[in-house]
Amino acid sequence: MDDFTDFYAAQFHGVTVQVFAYTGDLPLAQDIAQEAFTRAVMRWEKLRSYDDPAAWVRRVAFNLAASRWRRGRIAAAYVRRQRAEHVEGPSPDRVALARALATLPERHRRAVILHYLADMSIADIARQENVPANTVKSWLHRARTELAAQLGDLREVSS
Amino acid sequence: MTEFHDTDLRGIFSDFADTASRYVRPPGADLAQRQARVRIRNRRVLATVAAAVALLVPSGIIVATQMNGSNSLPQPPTTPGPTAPTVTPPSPTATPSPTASPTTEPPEVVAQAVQGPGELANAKLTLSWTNPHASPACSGAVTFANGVSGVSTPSVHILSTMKLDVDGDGAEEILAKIFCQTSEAGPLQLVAIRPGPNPTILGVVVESADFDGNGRLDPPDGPGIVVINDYVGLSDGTIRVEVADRFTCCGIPVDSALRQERTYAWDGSSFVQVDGPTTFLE
Repeated sequence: MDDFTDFYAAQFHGVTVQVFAYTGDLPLAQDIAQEAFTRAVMRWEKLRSYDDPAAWVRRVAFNLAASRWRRGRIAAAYVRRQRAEHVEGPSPDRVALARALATLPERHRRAVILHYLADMSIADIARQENVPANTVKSWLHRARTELAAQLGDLREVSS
Repeated sequence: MTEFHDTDLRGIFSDFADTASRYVRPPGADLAQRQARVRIRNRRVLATVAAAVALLVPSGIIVATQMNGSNSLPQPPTTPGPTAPTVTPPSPTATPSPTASPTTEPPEVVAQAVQGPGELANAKLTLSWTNPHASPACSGAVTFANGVSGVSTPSVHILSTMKLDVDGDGAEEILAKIFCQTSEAGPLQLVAIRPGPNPTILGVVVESADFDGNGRLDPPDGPGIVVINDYVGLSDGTIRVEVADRFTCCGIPVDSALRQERTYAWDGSSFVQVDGPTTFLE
């Protein structure tokens, strides 16, 4: 087993779940994650020296998701080629968070997912999104407020 | 208005991740590696074709391109033209053939240049040129207004743009054809730009060589690119550019220019030519 295989095994689920939270479409998220890892292995000699190669994969995956969210161009062809079988996923009814996230503005949604699912710091998100840290704080505040309005009952369950 | 506390949200997201993870079915690292090998092999084949064309059949290419009076690139779907002969890909030598190798398909045209500066209309770009004919006014930090910098010659113009993910990171770069006008003509370059609040140059795809009153001025190693015409983006992130060896305005016959299609790819640090003829030499 090589180190890319280890890296893939350790990171694929996490990246896929993060993209699923962003797109609300698990099969698409899985395809996007696979594409991001394919691009990673093409430059693995360089990426393996990074402190956090998963950050590169995650950034590529979110870039792909954002691009496809807006235009949905390459995804369809890729899915036709690659998807061997129907991929089951949790229904929106069972994952209220995904439904609530879908109502957030794109950048608020991305920030809250990167912070709470990918465990990225505000400073790291600001760097990735090329915005000031205070802007990220504002996005997170608005996202938390909106999610609280929609998921109040889940908060009680969680606590 | 209330908002979630960190601990509340972390719990909800953790539950979400646990639930969703149960449904994730990784296609596998081996599939990613096989797909990557195919893509890398395809690029190597293109590079091999480019080298073979340059060495073996330049005169045929020139005859063919002379016959082609079109001033624009073919529209999708594309077929191999005279500058991209069909070759059999070399067999992999380091690894055995995969049992379920993904289909090798030629890259498709996915983007086309659009006239005008687009979202770069009022951008500030830091330009550099290797062409000694480029005016100092065209170099360094150049601020555009409606795609133009300078009120007379020398002036800098963004003639066209195109969006394409050239470095494979999933985000689109902007390709821009820049014209450094020093008289009726002037040097051209096609650059890739990372967009954003402060656009930055990723690299120069191709730049024109020198010219004189006859429309071209040959460097010591033979005639160079004098004109950058149209360009398109391919699905593998490469850029196919139509170039010519001569300016054809101002009394110089259009038919006197040789036109070629050359394809360029980002190699991680710069753009390199991967397809098409590499010289206008007969």
